[in-house]
Amino acid sequence: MTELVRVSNLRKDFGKITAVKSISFKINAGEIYGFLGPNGAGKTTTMRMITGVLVPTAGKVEICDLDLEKYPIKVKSQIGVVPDEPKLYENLTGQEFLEFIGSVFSMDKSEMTRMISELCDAFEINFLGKFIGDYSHGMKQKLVLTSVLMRKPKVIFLDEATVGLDAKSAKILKMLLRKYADEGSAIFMTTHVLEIAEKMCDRIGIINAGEIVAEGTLTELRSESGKQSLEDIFLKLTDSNEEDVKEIVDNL
Amino acid sequence: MNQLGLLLKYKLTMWSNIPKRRGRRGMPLFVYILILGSVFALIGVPAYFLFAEIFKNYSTIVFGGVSLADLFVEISMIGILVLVLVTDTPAVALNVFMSDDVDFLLSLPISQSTIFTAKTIETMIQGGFPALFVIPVLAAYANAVNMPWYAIIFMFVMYIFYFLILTAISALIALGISKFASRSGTQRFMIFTSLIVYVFVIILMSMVGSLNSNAANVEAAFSNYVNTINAPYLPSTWFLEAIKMQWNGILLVIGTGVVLSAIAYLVASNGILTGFSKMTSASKHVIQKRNYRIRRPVIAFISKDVKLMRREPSILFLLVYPAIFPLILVGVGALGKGGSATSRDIMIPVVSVFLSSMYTVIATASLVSMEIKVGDFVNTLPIGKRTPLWSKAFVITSAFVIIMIVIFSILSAIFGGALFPIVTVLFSIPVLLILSFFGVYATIKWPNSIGGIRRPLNTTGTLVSMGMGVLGAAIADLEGIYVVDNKLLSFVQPFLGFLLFFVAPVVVEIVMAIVTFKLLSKIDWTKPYDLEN
Repeated sequence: MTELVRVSNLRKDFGKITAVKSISFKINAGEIYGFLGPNGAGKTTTMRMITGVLVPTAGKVEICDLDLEKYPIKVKSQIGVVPDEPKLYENLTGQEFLEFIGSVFSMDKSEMTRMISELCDAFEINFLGKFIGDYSHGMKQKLVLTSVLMRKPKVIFLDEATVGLDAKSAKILKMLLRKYADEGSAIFMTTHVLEIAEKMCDRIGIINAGEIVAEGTLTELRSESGKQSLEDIFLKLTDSNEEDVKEIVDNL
Repeated sequence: MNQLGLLLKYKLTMWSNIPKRRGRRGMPLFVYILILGSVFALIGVPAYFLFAEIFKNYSTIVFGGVSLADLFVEISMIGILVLVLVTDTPAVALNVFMSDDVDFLLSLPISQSTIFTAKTIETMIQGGFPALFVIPVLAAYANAVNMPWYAIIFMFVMYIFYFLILTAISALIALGISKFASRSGTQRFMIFTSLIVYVFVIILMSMVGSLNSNAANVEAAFSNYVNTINAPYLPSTWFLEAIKMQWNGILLVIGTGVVLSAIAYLVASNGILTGFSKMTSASKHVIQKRNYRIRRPVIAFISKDVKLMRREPSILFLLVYPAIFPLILVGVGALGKGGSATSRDIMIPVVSVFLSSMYTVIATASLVSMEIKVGDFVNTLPIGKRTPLWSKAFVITSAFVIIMIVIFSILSAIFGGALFPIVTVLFSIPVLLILSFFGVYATIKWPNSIGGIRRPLNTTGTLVSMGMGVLGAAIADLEGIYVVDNKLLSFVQPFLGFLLFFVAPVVVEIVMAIVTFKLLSKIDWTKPYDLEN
């Protein structure tokens, strides 16, 4: 099986605080990897490091057999990143933004036009002529998704990608990701919606306080933890349990 | 604490927290006050002595019961009126209806009028600084007319009421604008009004410039304007009457201030929500093309930056200065009729290069701020780290150079003689390019603690950028003058002239370039706020 993402002993310190403590994982071609963890666990920091946005304090990231530190531009041309909060150029129209992305990634014009047309139909995008500053969160999210999916990158990183999307668009996205994975892409996604992770992900990594505390398929996680639902597994591994949560709610 | 106080306190806390969030040690409030006080004193004290002398000389010249000194007070008041109305009004409109937190504030159980008042006060605190510079003028006037101490205190109380009138009018116009204007419309309105201020300032400068001529000329010049300046419906006239302890003036200033503020408060209590809905509504421009253009990555960046520059009013405003100023100078006759051909040929490019140089750093900083605002996005693109940087420096430098070429071409067509302007443009290109790169460094080194594109640099950054701008302008202008019109430098020995006016500027230019690129290499411009995480 082709390993498209290899992360080895990745660490990030912010001054005296260690946000991510030496984590390692791999993602194969055709695999959707769910990266779960409570708020502040280090999910976004990890994603920023493996997408070349943040320089790690230590460790190594290889994507498509290329060392990210040595070949950042080659690596970035192979990946697509959907952040949790899409911050875009507000004074560009959606169309201008897509043209910009297509140009930066040196896309074929006819292929880009075809993909944009298909994705616009799928996500019901009819606002590309408007300025991005006038978009809602969901509209921005759809635009970013289009800008990534139109390129069919080998590796796609998504941080809470379904947040802000309507039910139909979220469903289409999930199906599209599965389709892209089946065609050979590797998908890395973070989410707080455990149901999505449970249904979509082939393997799941759970990070807590900067460390991966569990990793494997859902079946493996179930047998290791002795719990059935992903929610129970997650709560157990992140130092919480059903009783603690109930007590907190009762005390409120 | 009442709700208004709470809102203002929350805003102050937010401002003071931003530098801390970015990992910088925020300066204590008293340091800011000390810096502002020093700037004010540096300008205010000499201004006081200058105006004290002027007021003494001209308080004896009287037109129909109004002395020339009185007229200058009224002109100053009209100046502040124009400045506040045309610059702060759109700022209030944008700050009230378009700021990031207004959505949140409207969801709280706080009255709309309280939100509006808090937002207006915020804007006035930021935009009302120029109003302080009338204080030395008023103090000089008080000294010239031998005002007793209690009258001086009363005069400043009246000034507060006068500012209240301006604030209320500004707020009412902003409420009106919000009913029919879109966000982009308001931004365009800001550029338009800024131009009006610009023209007004030039005319005012031209009038004040006449102070250098003899009393008879001043009398002749002002006799035409007395009735206009001293019109009974102008708040500036009421103010003059008030500080002369005339009851009608006092009542008009206080009464109008209070009544207009009350009206603005009442209108705001019903108007902010509808104005907010109007201004935040989506643009109607929905043309979805099916044809896409693919460019080379570098060209794509340049194209994108040109679009962002064109659509950001604050940058356009900076580009307008060097374009408009020479035309206005010619228009009001400062260089066109009175000045000799040589002084015109030299002065126009000198002024234009000076302004281009002054604003290159800030304009680049604004463009870089836009890139910083989109956060990690640019880092995920398969491009070199320097590509966006070069693109911005190229776009801003090109914009200023094109503007200068167009303006010089127009003026050359009118007056003839284009050699000096062309040489100046050529010499200014490397200077502007260096300043653009310095702008990138300045954005990272001295970002404005309240963030944003309109004011990308903090006080230190602004002062340093102005200093660099002056240095850059001096280099380009000296080189141009040396090469084209050596006769102007005949007061020095030829060899010394060559060293001082050509070799030295070139050396300084090279040093500037080396220092700028060294500084840039030390910072990662894509991660200015890494400590946020």
